[in-house]
Amino acid sequence: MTKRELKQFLGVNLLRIFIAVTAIFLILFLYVIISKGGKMVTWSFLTESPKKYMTEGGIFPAIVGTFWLTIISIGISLPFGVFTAIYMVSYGKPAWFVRSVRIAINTLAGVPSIIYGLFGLTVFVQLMKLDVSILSGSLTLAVLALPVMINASEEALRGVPHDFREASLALGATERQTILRVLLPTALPNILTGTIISIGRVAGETAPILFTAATFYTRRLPTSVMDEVMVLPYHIYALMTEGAHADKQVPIAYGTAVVLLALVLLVSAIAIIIRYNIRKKRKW
Amino acid sequence: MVNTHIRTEDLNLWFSDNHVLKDVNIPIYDKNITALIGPSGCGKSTLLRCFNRMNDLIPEAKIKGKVFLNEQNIYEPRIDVTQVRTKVGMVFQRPNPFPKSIYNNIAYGLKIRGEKKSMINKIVEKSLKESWLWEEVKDRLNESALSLSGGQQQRLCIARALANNPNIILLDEPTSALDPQSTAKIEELCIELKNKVTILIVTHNIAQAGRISDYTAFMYLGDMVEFGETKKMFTVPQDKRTEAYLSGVFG
Repeated sequence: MTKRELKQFLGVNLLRIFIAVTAIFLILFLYVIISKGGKMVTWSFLTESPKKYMTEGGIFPAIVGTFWLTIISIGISLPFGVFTAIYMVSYGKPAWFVRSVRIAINTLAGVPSIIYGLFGLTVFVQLMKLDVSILSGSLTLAVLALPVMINASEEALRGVPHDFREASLALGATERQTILRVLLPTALPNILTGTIISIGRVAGETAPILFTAATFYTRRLPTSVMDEVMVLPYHIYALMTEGAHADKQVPIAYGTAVVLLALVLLVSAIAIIIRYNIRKKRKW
Repeated sequence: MVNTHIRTEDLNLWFSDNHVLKDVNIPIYDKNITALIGPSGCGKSTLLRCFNRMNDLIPEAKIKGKVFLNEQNIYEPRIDVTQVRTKVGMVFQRPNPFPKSIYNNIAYGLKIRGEKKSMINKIVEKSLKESWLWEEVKDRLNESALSLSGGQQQRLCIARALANNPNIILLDEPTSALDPQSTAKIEELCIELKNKVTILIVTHNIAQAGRISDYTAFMYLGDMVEFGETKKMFTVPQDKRTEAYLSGVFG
């Protein structure tokens, strides 16, 4: 083997080792969570409320809570994200304004999530007097999801070929008609992918809802957006840190982790399928 | 004598500090084909885009002078640009159908003006027939326009412009991305269409200008060097630069 061939051989195998280590960690991670919590996940675990100070029963209220928080926060951040992106892409004037907005967005994206929690507590819970509620939590999560949403929408809109915009305007369409009838429909699939990725992010966050929406234990399902709720990630945290029956609580925590993980993976899988279908159809 | 459909009066255009069009005066005659020729960067596409105010989209463009469409200056402040662009259709260098169905591509201009469904159906068929595409697509109007070949897409873009019932169609090097057969078809189509509309075509292809145009304008470095009947200009060019360009000395 010549020196060059040897280098090539070593180089390729080095890459193989790195990829193997990455894969092993991922598999190990899934194995640990599922082996510890997999057997907890039964139909009744998914559909019943916790019992006996959370040492028995299921996690249904936490699933419901996570569902509502996610839906409402995405429902708030999606229009804000899309409209902001439309402005930045289509009008984008004055330049200094757009640049400041972009800096603000990127800064927002880098803020640790616990700080969102404190922000939500100050602004939504106390200042706007929304109390610890689904609404406060959703608003906090919406602020958290906003940078991702704006960036995804902006990228999607910029991905629409300039030709389409010219074609529309040359046919006598106004800027507004061009945005509504050409730009948005063309960018929509990619905006949706961005949205679904945000759902995964929002559903798994604990810190932002710690002081704004989450409650340790309630048997009651929420009846309005002003109720506090149980949520999956916080439920895990609570089971691991509070209460006096660790031997019974820890398996429930792992079971909850399996459910949360499954939900997030499911959402990502949907995003991948959508993206795959768009790429297959797209011809420009 | 034919009527003047569009004319410019001392038209000047700058992109920032770059003086792209210099005191351009040109008449475009009604129901004739006028070709704009000249080397790359001479300003012919920019001039074309002055006729439907597409240069408005470029923030650093500054325009001085007048462009008369049926003796109405389209650069007057009270002019509705969308009206101008409805009357003056445009076909681009690269076929650019929307990622919508064939039907919806043609219907687009009508829908944004709120035409009735029955009316739209009629016009879609008429426009596709006028652009010689009807027989090829009549059974698959709901398929994506992107499934058509390049030449078909370009004829679809012509049909889309025709659906607005324009008086003028601007073509910006419409065949430069097409194969020779598709090119020939578009050229024939242009000759057929001049019975109905005024056609203004920018082309890199001198032979194409010779084949289809009635009048030719030769531009060089932002100047309108020579304008006249194609036959005359191609046989006896008045300006040395025109002669050099037509004989392929530069370009």
